[in-house]
Amino acid sequence: MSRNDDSLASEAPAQPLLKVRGLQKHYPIKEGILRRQTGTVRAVDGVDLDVRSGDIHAIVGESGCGKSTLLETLLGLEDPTSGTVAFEGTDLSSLSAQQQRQLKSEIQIVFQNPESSLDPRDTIGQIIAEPLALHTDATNRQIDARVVSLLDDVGLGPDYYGRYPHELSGGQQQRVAIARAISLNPTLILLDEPTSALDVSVQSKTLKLLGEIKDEYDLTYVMVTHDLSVVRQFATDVSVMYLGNVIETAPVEALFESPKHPYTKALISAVPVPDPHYDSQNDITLPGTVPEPSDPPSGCRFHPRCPVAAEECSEAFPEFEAHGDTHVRCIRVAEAESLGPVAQDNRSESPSATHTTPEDD
Amino acid sequence: MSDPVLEIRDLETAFDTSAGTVEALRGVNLTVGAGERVGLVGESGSGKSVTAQSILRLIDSPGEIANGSITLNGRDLLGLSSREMQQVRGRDVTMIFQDPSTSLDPVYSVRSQMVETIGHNRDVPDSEAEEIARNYLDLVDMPNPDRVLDSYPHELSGGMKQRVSIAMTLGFDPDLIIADEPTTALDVTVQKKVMEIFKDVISEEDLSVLWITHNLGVVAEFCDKVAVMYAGEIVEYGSVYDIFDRPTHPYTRELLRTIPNINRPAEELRVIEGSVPHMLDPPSGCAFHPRCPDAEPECRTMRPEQVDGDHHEASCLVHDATEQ
Repeated sequence: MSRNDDSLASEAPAQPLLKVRGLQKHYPIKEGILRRQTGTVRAVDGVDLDVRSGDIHAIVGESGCGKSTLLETLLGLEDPTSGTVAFEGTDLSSLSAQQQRQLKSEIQIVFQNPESSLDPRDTIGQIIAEPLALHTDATNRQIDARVVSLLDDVGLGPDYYGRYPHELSGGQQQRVAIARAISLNPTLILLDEPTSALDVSVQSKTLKLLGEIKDEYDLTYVMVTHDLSVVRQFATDVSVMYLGNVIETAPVEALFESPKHPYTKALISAVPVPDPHYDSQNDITLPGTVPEPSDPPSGCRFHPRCPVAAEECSEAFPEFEAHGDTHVRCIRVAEAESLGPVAQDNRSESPSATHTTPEDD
Repeated sequence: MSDPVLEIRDLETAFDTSAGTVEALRGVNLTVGAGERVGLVGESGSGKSVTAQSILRLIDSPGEIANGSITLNGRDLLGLSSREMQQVRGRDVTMIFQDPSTSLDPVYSVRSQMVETIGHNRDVPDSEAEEIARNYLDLVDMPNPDRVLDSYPHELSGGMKQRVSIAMTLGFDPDLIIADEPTTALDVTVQKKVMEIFKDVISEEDLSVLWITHNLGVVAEFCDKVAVMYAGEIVEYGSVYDIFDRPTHPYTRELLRTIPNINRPAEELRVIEGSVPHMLDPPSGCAFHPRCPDAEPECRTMRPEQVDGDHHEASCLVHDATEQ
């Protein structure tokens, strides 16, 4: 799999492919017979995000953190309340309907549940052909040839052309969704939990395919997921969201080797480790639950649950601060240093004597 | 080991469909000892949920338990009348589901549901049942049991609902808990909390648990013993250390190599070639042979012996667990 190891690129003034600034998406809460607005759900509440060309940028967070709303806003399914989304330097809100339509072929999406994203009444061939018929001038014959070659690209034979979605397994359906997403040669593909509904052995195959497709089609991925293990194995960059905000952004290895934000640390340490020798003693268990996005806490959104919060954390939401390649919205990074298992878990230097992995035998 | 709580022998469950017979379970042996936490892992269609349904005798027509025995604390469950079985479910064996909403009735308050079911299962008056309910809500770390008792399911978050359903299950004082992916639908930080609470309560109450999951991380953190299922069979059984340190069956090995590990830097993604067989027409010999990197010619024709389900063993003609 290709990784964007060219970390110097982040220093270069090169234009990011996708540049999001201060993005907000609020939903009104309306109550009573007059449908008066009684509150606001701040689903996305000021997100900054840079995605460089060739990145696999993972957006992680738990239910209600706003990651799906962010994706919908990026895709243009939702109009932002405020803030800007620039794609290849062009502000999306400044585009005419015609231009936006054109741009739609540049940005595609693959959803979590392939079964519900594929029309059950259409054959696989029709499903993949649809965007080609809508957005290109290709003849039917050309479209058919393209569909067969797309099927081949995602590892499905031409005999799948006439089949229906229900005849396919979940992994095969996801391959069809991927084929449809790449049919118009997009630049950016948004992946919404692309492997969450799949079995583990199918998951790894699907990720491998996504890696191959990315190289072949020269793609950039923005992937929303809650599965941090997949992120570590697949992504190049990670943004962690909490309650409508990105609170930490870093290259993937920096994020997992040296997470800065206390929430990021808690999130990583909550993932069950497939190793019975793993010592979970220093894992962080967070008190309380995520507050309602209609009534977020003052200051840093995480401070009521934060193990190292100080008085001033409730006063102002910190701006991004750079720590090496990591950007984090936290003023207690030094105090959070000793938190969690990551600091003590330095396997490469001191592998525990009892630690064996399947590869060892 | 002391007398097992649950003992399954040669269990075969099949479903008659218009296309033919689906052999969902093909001779399963499994033992759950007192106070043991046994993980049943496998991918979709491997038979792990059918195993749970068979234990509870919830296999409906056209499905049928065709062969074998299931013994709970020495009692043959397959010989019980449906009325007797009704009492076993809930009183002796209870199940926690992936989606807690399915075990909570949306139109009744948590109080009336917990009091009624606990009272019924334990044969105690309402006041005592409510006291038990409050105790267990406290045990699963619900900050304000009285407020929870007054609430309706929709007023609770997913993690709280799952804790209520765990508390309710514990209130039944069962001999065996079958947990079917109880934390899969929860966020990771919530999952962690629920798992820690569940683990504490289980050791405190010395309960036996059969934990069905596809998540090997959850298994490593929660279980003492692991049974790996593939195509309706347990292909390997052993302690959690046996399975993770000395995996013997090629499927177990491949599965462990395939799962992404959050504690390891990215490496080349590994995949298991081929796909899970359809149980209408399982492969001859060892069901894993078409995908097995170590398959020998005899694997195509000879079916390996099933594991006993009480010590580290792999159902494989090529590899022997004792040589690991």
